[in-house]
Amino acid sequence: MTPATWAHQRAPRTAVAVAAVVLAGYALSGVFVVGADERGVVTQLGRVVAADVAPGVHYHAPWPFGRAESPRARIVEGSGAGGYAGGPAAGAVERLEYLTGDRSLVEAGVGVKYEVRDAAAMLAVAGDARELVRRVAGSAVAEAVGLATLDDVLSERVAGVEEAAGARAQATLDALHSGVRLTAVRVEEPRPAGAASDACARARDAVAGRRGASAEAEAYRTRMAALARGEAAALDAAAREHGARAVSDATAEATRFGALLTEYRSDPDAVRDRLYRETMSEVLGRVQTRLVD
Amino acid sequence: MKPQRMLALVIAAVVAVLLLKTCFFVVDRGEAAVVAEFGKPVRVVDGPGLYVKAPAPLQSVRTLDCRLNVWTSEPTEYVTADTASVVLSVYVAWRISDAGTFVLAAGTKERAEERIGDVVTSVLGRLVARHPMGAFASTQPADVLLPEVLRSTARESQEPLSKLGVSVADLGVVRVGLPDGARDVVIGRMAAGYDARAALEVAAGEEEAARIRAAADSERQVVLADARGESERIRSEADAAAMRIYADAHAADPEFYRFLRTLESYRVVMNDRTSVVMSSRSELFKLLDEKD
Repeated sequence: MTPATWAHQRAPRTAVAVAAVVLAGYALSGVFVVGADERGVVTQLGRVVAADVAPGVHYHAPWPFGRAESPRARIVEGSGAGGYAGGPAAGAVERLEYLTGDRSLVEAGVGVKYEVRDAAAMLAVAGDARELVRRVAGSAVAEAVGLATLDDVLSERVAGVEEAAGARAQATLDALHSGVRLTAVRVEEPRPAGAASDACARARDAVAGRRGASAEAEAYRTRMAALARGEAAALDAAAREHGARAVSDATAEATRFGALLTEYRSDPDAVRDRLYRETMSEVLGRVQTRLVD
Repeated sequence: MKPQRMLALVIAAVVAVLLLKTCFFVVDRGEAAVVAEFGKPVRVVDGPGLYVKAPAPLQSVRTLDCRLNVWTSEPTEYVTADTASVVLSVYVAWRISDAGTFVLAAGTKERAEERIGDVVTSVLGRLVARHPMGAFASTQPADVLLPEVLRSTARESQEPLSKLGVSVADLGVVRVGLPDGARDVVIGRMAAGYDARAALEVAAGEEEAARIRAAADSERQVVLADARGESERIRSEADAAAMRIYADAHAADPEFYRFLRTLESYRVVMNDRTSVVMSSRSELFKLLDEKD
């Protein structure tokens, strides 16, 4: 068989095979995957036909009839400073200065955490739903900060500000039919604006320094109390030792005296003489003696 | 079939398919389409689906995204009723509400936002000027009118923007601040407040520490004084007991006791530095004699 006849016989089959592969490829354009943390939405000729597709591999009508989108089910955004720094869009939110109710200026970022309750609604509400959520939350925070004092915002009372902002933002998002449910709105790393921040840090250091000085003085007090107890115990011990010795010395001498007395009574003169001689021998043995005739 | 005819057929088929394709268009959810005849809008479609129109170039179609756009203003200084200044930056969530009007009046998103900026800034300026500074920052909720000003701005901006085919869905604030001069004053006041607090804390800390140290020292003295008193009591009781023991013992023969005490005194009084001068006739010398 010459190459030419081979080609002549095989050409139609090749064409069929190519056509089949192309068709299969086209059909496969309808396969899509919804990730574990995603929500799938399928549209067909512009209409939503499946609003909440579970994670897994699915199929929609091939191009150009069907289309699938799968936004993340849980979204976390923040300024990158404190709070939600680890979110997928860390740094997406700028840190801004806000006017507080007591007319001070506080600098803070706004962090937001939310769940996509209705993915179809979220995709339909805005071209960039995430920006919308950030702005709505930011506005609610600005309003809530405007009602709080600087100290509120810088202390743990900021939780009240966050709660008010969260409720306000959720109401706005519901009114817009955003399909989004906020789980947290956070005022991230608030600090006094500009140079006041350094002064605030100095004041905080001074508070810590005051506590440190008090603690040091208390430690001194504890040390002094222990020392005083120790000294008192030493005085007490010395007094008791002295007392015991005085009594035992007295007892010993009384015993000795009693013994001598018994002996003395049996022969007073002899004992008297012996004691006198013993003592004198001992004494004269060590003194310098001069004799006079 | 001649090759030329075959070619002509293929070309005709391709042209027919292309023309047919221009007769269909898809409108997505959240979109609107404006069908124009030689550039003049004749039909607006604002529901999703597949639609039919006359083939190009008779009719053309332009689809518009009618979902919300978020436009953010530059920070702008506004003067309040009490001639203070407040810097506001706002966002406007807007959408195309009337695609036909929008295509004619605004044309593009950029031109629409330019117009939105003009309208919102002027309405906001007018409304801010009606309220004192306290309406934008106060710890009294009743005084704060910012949310109301924002709502009114959205409402009053709506009418002029309707002419563009645009509707305002939400208007909020991005930041509420102060112009540079006022900002410096506020920051200076805040810093001074913190510095005063720091000085107060340092002084209070020193005072507390001194107080505690003084208390510690005096507590120690009290404990020691008590201990000394107690120690004296113990000593004197013991001494008294010892005295009683001595007295009881010696009461048996006071004369013998005196004798013994005298001997003891000799022992204590006379040591190796003592010189004794004695007569060789004395009894004591006899003792020495005996000793040798």
